[in-house]
Amino acid sequence: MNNDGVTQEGGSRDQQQVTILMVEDDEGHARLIEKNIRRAGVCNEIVHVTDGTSALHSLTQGLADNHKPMLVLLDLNLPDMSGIAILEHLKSNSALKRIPVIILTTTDDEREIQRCYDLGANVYITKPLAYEQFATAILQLGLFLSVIQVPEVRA
Amino acid sequence: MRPTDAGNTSKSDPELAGGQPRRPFFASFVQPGPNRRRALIGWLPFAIGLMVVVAVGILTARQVLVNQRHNERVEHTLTVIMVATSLEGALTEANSTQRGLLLTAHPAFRTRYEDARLRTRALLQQLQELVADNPAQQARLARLAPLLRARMAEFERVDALIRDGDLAGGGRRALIAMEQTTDVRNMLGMVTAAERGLLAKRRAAAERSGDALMALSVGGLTIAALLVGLSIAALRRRAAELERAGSDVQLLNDELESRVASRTAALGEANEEIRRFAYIVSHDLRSPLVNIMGFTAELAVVQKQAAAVLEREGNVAEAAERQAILVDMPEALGFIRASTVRMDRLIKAILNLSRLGRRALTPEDIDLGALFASLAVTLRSQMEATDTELEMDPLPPIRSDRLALEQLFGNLLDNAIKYLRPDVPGRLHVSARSLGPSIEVTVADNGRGIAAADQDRVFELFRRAGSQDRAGDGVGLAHVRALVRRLGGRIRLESRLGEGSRFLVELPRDIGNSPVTIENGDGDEQ
Repeated sequence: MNNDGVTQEGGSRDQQQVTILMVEDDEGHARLIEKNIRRAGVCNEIVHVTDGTSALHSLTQGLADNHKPMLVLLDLNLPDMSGIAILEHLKSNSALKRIPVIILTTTDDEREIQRCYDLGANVYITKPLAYEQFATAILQLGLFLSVIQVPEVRA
Repeated sequence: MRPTDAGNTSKSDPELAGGQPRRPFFASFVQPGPNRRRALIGWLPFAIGLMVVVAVGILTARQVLVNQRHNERVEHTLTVIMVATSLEGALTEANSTQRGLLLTAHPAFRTRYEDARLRTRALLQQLQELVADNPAQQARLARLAPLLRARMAEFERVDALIRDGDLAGGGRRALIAMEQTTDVRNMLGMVTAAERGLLAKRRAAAERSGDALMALSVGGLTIAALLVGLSIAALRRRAAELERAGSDVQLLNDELESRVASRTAALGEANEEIRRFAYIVSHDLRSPLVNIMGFTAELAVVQKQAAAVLEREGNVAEAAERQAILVDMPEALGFIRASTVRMDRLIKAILNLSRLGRRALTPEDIDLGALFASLAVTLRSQMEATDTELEMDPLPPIRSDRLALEQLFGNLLDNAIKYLRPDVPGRLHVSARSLGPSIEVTVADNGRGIAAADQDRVFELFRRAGSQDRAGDGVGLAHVRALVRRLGGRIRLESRLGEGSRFLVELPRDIGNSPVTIENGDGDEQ
């Protein structure tokens, strides 16, 4: 359970290459998500951005250029744009549409969830209030991350 | 074109009548309103025209009679003159034929003489009859008659001489005869002259009368034509006014309709805005709560670690420090957690209320009896725990949204069971009655009841009434009211503290017929 460090280079497992882009405007949430991901034993690199513009920038120019496989953890409530817009942008871009997107947000509205899946989101997780549930959710996400096969991003 | 119509509207609408107090019904006929008065003014020229035409007619008829009389008089005068002239002619003829007899004794003269003589008499008589109405002429005739009689006597005398064969004796009387004839002629001349004077006067009168008749006819008809024209103009104006008023009314109507439509739209928007506001606020409030809960849990982990350290090495801390770590900190964390959980519940309640308006209602035929029975099954454990029984009257079918009805009546039953009196076995009674297009379902209990002062309050969100000895956030009845409104109905509460409550829920028999479904499926939650 010693899991500090925002960015941490991965070990030797094959999914260690995968970079997790966490788009989350709430620093507290980001910290809690990261703590729990680490607790779940996932030690991939986590890049944290707090707004949609930086997220899109990271996706199109930064990370994708390095041809590294990646995965996006996306919050829907962002200060500058809706997470849905980012999701739409990702899934309509031929180079980026294979990147797995996990929606991790406070909204548990069924329509919102449906909409995200319709747009091509891979997983939708509601941030639960009860911490235990939250931890469990992230733990499951960690397990999911450990088995998921992420395709390589082609620029 | 019925001017009374406009008058009637002013009677029924106090605003149009200039804000005057309402008059009794009949008064509006006695005292016409402004519109009615204007309508009357429109008809006035027509009525006056009609009256003038009638008056002109009467006057003309009278004038025609007068004229006729004048003409008759003229004719009469002419007859008098003619008869007088004929009389003179007959006298002259008698004179000359007698002279012919004296000269020739030819029998042809006798015949003519006799004829002229008889005619003279007859004509005198005729003349006397004709001037019977004129005393002056009568006086003249009275003077003429003896003169004529004398002349006629002279004729007889000469004639007797002629018959006796004394022609020379007859010839000698010629001078006397001539003088008498002259007298008669003079007198007749006076009669004729008087009659001519009369004729001139009567002709002038007849002419004046004819002129008057003409003037009267022309003037009267002109006035009548003028008034009819005015009347037509007034009626036309009135018709145009009515038409304009009609189109104004139409315009106002259209405007009103569009205003209602825009108000409705504005209300809908405002409603939607409130819902979105509730949604966004409650949503955004949850975000910090996640942090508070999360880091409280993290703190709990830290506290456990610290407690473990204290456990392991019992002598590292003072008693106060141990107290802080082992007792105060968990207590504080517990309060934080409980408050956060409660806050989350409240926010969720707001979220649910805001979602309520966005969920599309799906009407289906529902057996209310079966619905209540299934609710009773889900509430069985609570009902058994409180020794509560549910009685149901036969309930009518309804076409509505099943989920909404389940939540609505589930909440009401739950509420009733929750607030029973501890010493009295619970009795819940569900009944219904028909209210035209609506059904009123009554859920009654014999519970603790709600004080009159609190009866409005209980429907407000996060408000509760009575002793706060039951768990709850004051959400249930607010939810119930929101559901009832969403279904297009209304809810009332009748209750007496300590005796029980009755919730009367009025719902449309068929929400397919209710306007609430219009706002369904707006689906704009971004």
